[in-house]
Amino acid sequence: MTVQTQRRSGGGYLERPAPSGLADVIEIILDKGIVIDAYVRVSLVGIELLTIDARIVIASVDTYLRFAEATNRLDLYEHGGKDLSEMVGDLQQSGASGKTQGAVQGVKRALGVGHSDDDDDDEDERERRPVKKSANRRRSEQR
Amino acid sequence: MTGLSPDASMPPSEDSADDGLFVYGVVRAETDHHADGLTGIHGSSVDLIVGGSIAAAVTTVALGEPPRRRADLLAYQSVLDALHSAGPVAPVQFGSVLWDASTVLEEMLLPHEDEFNAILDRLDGKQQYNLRASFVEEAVLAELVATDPEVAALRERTRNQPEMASYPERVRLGELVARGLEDRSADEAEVLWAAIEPLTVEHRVRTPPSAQQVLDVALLVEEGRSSDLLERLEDLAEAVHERVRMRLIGPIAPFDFVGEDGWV
Repeated sequence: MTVQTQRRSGGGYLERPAPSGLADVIEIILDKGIVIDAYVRVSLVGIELLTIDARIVIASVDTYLRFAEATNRLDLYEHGGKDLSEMVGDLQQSGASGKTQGAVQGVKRALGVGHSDDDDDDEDERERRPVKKSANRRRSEQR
Repeated sequence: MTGLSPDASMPPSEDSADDGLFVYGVVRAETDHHADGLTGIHGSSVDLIVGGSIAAAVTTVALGEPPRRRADLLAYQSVLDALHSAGPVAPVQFGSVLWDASTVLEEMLLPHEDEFNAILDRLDGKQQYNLRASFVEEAVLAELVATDPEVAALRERTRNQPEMASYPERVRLGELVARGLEDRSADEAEVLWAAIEPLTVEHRVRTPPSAQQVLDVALLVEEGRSSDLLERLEDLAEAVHERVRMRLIGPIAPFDFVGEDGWV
């Protein structure tokens, strides 16, 4: 069974969402803007909800375990052994394998600088979005 | 609009002790902002309080009802974007409510007129974009497995073992992978950034490169160069799309390029 690689035509690789969702807007305005001195401001209960600690601590054992799990879950061709649902998912999501190139080569090519030697690693690459979500970082902070 | 209370339709009464003025931002007084056509917090109107050469965009809000709902956040952002499309705007942090028009005028605008003018001059004719670049995790993990023998070996050893039996090895694997991603992230951030920076006037790093994210940066761009920037980003995004996903929001009001000037 062959599956055509799906390429979006006419660019479109740069995602340009309209910032309409709440998460997008919070991300844009979080902790931003000119700060007005507290003694001029009315202090309102609950209004500081946007003073949020958005920093995510990364170097923890939990994160390591997550990376280990993600690495172990990889479906590299040489290992096979996928179950049916994964196979179907793969076919629906992308299909053909392609070249994996470093950003350096890719960027140079995009800018028309130098030339690159292609490394044709046949690796399973799927067009799936990272499962990362930034929604859980809201934490109200009392002042 | 959901959850609007009857208060939202009350006429502005700045003298009332129960009301305050929600401040969106500061603009040049001379610019025609069509503020009367804007809908602000709680669905109320947006007014301009003029102080000398500058003006604050405000909405009267009931103090018992702090603006903190979804619709309020969206309204705040859209008012600032609308003001920004007419001329330079200095956003004020969400949730800033002042007592009344005279506080806005005498405590906020007039004592800081020069500072505000300096900020507005700096932002004039410029637009903010927020750019994110993150790894297509599976593609980059596969690279790590292919290029780092220790990662490949640990993966081999741990993948079919019960979690508890291989716990230390899993932690070690994850640590190596995290390091590998961080290294790659830093390298790629540098490469991408070198291609992007020349098209920007200023930038702010929102989050430094990490294992999960290559770039998270706010760009300030001359309006006239926006299309160059978009073209460049589109080319870059296409070039790296197998490993890195790029996401651009904007143009938006310059939220990231004010506020470092201290308190007002």
